[in-house]
Amino acid sequence: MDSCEPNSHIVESQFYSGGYTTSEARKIFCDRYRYQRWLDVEAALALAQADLGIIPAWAAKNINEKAHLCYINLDAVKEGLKVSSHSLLPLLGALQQACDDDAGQFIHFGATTQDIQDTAQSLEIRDVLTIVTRDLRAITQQVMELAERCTDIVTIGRTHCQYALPMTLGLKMAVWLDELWRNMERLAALRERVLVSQLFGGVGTMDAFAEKGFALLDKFSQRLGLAPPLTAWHASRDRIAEFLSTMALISGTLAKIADEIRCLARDETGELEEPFQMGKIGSSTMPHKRNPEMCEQAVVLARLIKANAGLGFEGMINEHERDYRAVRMEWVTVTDTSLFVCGLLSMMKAILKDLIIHEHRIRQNVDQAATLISTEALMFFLGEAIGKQTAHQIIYETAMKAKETNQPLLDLLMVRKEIAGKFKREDLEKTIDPANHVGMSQELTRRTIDHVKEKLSTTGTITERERVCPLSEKDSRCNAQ
Amino acid sequence: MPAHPIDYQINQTVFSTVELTQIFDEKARYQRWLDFEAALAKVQGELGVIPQEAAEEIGRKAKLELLDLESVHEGYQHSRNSLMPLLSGLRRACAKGHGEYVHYGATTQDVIDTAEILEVRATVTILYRDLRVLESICLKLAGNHRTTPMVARTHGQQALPTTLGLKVVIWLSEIRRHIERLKHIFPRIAVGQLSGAVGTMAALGPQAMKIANGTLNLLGLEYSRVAWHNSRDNIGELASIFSLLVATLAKIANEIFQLQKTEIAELIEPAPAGSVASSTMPHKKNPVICQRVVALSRHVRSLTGTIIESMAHEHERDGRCLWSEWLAVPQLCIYTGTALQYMLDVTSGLEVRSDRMLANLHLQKNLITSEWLLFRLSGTIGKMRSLEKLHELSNKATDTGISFKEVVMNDPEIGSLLGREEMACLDQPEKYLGHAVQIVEQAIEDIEKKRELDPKTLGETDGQL
Repeated sequence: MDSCEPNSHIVESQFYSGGYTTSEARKIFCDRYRYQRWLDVEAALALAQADLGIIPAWAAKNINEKAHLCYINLDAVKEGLKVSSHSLLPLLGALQQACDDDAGQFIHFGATTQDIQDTAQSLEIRDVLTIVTRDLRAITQQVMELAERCTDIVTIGRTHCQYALPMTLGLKMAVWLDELWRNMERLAALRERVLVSQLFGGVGTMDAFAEKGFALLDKFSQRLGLAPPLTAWHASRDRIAEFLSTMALISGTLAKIADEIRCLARDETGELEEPFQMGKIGSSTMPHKRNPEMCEQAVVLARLIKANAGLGFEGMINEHERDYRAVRMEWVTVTDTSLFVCGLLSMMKAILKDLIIHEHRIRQNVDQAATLISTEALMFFLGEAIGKQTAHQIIYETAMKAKETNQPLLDLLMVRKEIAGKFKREDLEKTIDPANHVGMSQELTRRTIDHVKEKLSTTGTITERERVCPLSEKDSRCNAQ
Repeated sequence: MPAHPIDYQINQTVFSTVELTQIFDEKARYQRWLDFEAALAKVQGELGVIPQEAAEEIGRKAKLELLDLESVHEGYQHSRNSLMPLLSGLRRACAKGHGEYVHYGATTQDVIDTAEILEVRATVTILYRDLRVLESICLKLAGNHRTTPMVARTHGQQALPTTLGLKVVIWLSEIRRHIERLKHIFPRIAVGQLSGAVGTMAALGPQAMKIANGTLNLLGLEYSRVAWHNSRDNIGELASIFSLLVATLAKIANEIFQLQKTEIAELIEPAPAGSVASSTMPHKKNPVICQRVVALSRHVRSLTGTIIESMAHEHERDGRCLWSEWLAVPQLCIYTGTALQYMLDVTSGLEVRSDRMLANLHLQKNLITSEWLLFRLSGTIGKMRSLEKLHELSNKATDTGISFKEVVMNDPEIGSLLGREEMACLDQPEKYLGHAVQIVEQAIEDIEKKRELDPKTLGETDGQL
């Protein structure tokens, strides 16, 4: 091995990978794990074939025993890949070498390369979904708690980046929560469709397995804990496209939350702030800076993930029965999307865990904006007596004048002939108190929380398992050698 | 029955301009196809490839209003060819069987591609004109505000003082580069297509080269020497330039959108008297146009993606690529030109609230000039130590609400190193402008010089090609 081991992809960086992914996610895609997963699939195939008498039981037993990375000559595999340009055969050749007697002759019996690689990819995706489901659940829980905590905090609702109407902070978060929950539902539906095996031979006819094909598919899938599909999906990649686009939706939701926090953290607004601890540096030359860098990074990751979703759709266009131009793209897109999405989820957990809510700034902003943001309420109040459209026109003119002349809206309104003498100033003042005009904010918040809480309580969690490097001493099979 | 917002007749200019939709108008496009056929016949007549009389008759009848459009329309219902029904219409319009000499040796794609070039060229002419107007508006804006102090922001957070002029000359430098890009690509794209079915010019006969040159020259174009039926890098490049251009517009629009936030309110998109922002919130003044520009830019970028993807042709011609390009190009051109028109409106009436700029500059109680202090202290205690120290003190100021100046003056380590008098600098962030004014003036001068070298127009300006 060269003394320089290039770690050129940012997810491999010893210094920066933390901003892009987690070590937990990197383990899934480590090429040792990947090869071991392929070997696991071959072993499952051999065992299932022995059960059905397709290959001898002694051979399957031996294949299963030797289908472990510690028996494989990886240098020979590397050399073989260079010479053969085939993505699987060199590994199978090495496995054959490792097997005793003629057992190696029964490896990969009737399967096609893509059967093995696609099945292994489903196993990869299963591992990814375990992490994603766990973290998304945690985030949903976090946002639910935040929404609960902020149910009654009156804040400013904004549209077109302009102060619009009063609302509660809890409602803003309830909208996040609702979106997060829909993503949880998407994940659950996705699992059913996506986590399937592949074992249909060269062009999907199961020719080499003859009449035992269906039984073999069932046993093989069962051993790996995947569902057996009805038919081959070698050239039918909607499952992967759905995985990639669902990950893009999830990241879209998370990035939207992160970006909202970032926007509300502007010095001029100052209502929310991502967690800060002494030692976190904003700028190398402006000592005063406190930057929402985690929130920004969340947006970065979402953009990268979104780009891969597009490639997922492209990959759906396959030619004939198999098309490597589509499949090979997935080796990059599924990997990158998975790594990034896990990084994004872990970053969001950190942001939400210690999210700073500057209640005094929120109150200050609301107080200062009271007249402006309650114009709708004012319009309905005045409208009862003088007609709503007329009220809109009067308030519009007066509000524009207030803006231009920097005078209080109420002062200007009270001297207008349509208002003076007909309305009492204190009634108008009461009308514009923002706290009186948060509409159904609290009810909507509570309703959303109750809904998600109930759903969460009836949703089971997925059991996780620890990943041990197949070449490490901790791996029991490795030690048995 | 306009179903696409580009063609809306009641709300006509949301996503298009009249000038641009005229270029891509269906009838204008068919007339352009007929112009190609007339030019081809004329040259072939002169060279004796077809009878002179036929060439003249084709030239006379190659006018959309002389064709029976009902039957052309009927033809399109049945034929899957994009050109044949129109050519049949022209053939039928010609007297004495002269119509048999229509489209003599050309392929459908020769006609459509050549017309597409005329369309994109007319678009570039408009974009160049408008972009130079935008440049002159921004030059004025930058000049007027070269010393207007305001907050510069990074990570959405207040960073250091700058001037509005400096912000605008950075926009200007991008705009100038786009103008140069358009100038550069304009002659390159002005090449037509006339190479026959697979680019061998087989059916054009022995005088093929002369025919191609003559026909395309009549249309104001060059001949490409070799077919580009399956070689679309020019359109891809043009689309990329459009994307770059609109991304710049969107960046400016977004900056205005952000700076119009109620809390910031430094720049305000012009609202013509009588324009109403919200149907239910009477006080609202929204940066509507800026948002439309951002929306348009997203579409332009994705259309560019489609066009670039369409470069991957199979063999000599590939309808899958062509159709996706042909569908994308009109939208690409119209959205780009519309975004540019919008930005002319926004920048020419942009409201600059220098009072708000100054107020925001003072928002953070002299924190914003922490960099000044950093370099002031570095000479004494070293830069890294100063950074560490000031970082600690500025966070203390933020968290406690005590002014940064007080916190610094009361610090046992560095308080004594600084006189109260020099610390007064912290109270005047508008003085800490670095070389902003000089940079603005130099950039303006530089761009003015480049403007003098610009041609007045690129190609014809009337858009009637």
